[in-house]
Amino acid sequence: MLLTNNILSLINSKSMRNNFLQIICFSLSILFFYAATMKGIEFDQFQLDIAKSPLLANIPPVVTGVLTIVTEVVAAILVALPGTRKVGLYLSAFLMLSFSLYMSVLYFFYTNIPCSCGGILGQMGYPTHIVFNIAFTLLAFTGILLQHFSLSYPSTKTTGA
Amino acid sequence: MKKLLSGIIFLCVVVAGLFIALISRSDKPVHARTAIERQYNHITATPADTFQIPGEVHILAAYDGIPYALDQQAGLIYRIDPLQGNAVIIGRTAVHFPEIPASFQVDSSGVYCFAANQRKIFRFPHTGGLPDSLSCAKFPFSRCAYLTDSTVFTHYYDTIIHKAGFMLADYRDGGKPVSQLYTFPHENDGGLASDGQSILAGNQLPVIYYQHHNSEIHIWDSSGLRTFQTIDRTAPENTIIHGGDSWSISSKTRFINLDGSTDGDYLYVLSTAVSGNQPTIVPQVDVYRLADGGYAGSLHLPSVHQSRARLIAAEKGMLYAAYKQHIVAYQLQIHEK
Repeated sequence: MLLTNNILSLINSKSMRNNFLQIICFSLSILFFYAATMKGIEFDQFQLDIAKSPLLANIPPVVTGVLTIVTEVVAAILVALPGTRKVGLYLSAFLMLSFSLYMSVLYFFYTNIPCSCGGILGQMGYPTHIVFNIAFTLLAFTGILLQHFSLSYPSTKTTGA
Repeated sequence: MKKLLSGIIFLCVVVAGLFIALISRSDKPVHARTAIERQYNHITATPADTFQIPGEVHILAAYDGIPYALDQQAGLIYRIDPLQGNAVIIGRTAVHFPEIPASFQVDSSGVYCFAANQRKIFRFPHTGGLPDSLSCAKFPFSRCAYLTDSTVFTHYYDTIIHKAGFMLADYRDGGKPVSQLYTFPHENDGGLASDGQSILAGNQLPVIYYQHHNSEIHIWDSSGLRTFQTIDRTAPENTIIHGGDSWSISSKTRFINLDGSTDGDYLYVLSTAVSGNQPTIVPQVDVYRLADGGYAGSLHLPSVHQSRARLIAAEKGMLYAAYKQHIVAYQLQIHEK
């Protein structure tokens, strides 16, 4: 009982929420920087993979490629800066939700579609990559919630019985 | 709280809208449709035996009444023991080359694996043991068939004229071209638009080349090269994406002929083309006479352990079909009018 109350107290404390939020923002920022860098380094291959995607086949690959990389870099910067964190978290959630949906649609409704992600992310199988994306989507939404409650409500102090 | 909820709902609506737009503008799956209705009463296939390999069948061949299977993931070649019916490992491909062989062929002298990236032909003995190999560094081949006179029927891509073609080559002593046989019309496709497989009964002519993405069949023997069309009549086209030094298959490319085999008299093609009387896409085996390219009939192979037939090999009145782990031997009867 004491332990439960202590855990609740930790979660409810503002410093703990801030720590969680900082970890989430740091993780998202690193992820987007890494993903954008790998896509940029292997830009030719990235364009080829995008061109093969049935969902993106009718959009010029260079447009989709540049747009994805720029959005990822912007999200990484916004989420890293305290002043723009809220917008950054919404943009991160939008990106991760879109990536999760995109991968799921390709995996469940199409065959033989290669993953366009570069580096270690591209080495994951589709199921692993979908789970990974969903985990980061949930993380981004958790970040939005924590950010909202950090700004809106004071922390509640719980004492052990 | 209201602000938070409306923010999240707005975000979800934007993502949903984006995907509705993407899906509505996406490439719809386009399937080949046969020009005639398939005939199922001319050929019958009666299950005779079922074999199982420990892994998964990625390439299937048959020679002298024995099925051979390659499990690419495990890098193993299996030979089904004709007496016991169990799978015996006769070769370990992973030790010698990592890629899936460009072509796989069995004749009386062994099992041939054409490793395109290494530009080498490996021949594994029927009895197991180490393979011997032949280097053909001068010829960047994509599909091959080894013939009795030690020449190789080769599908290749010429990076100078940017066209694919067929060539007869002698790969001994590093290789030399014997004769140029055909040049495909598509340009700048890395050879992918005409990708298929060269097949023959053992190592006996004719060589038949079927293509994965269109209905054109090429038959080559001592009298020359001739062509005929499979019943879907899909025209050859280049839908390949080119970028840098590589080419890849676009989502618009139809994958019609999954696999093919010949027993010397007939060509058997595992086709995804939808027939006029078939409501769904289920791979069917279409059979053609080699003598005149005429359509002889079709076979519908039932699923085994909830898996559809993915590979076929025909030989001596038998049709072997691979279903993931299982190989089913069917006794064939062709009653042509």
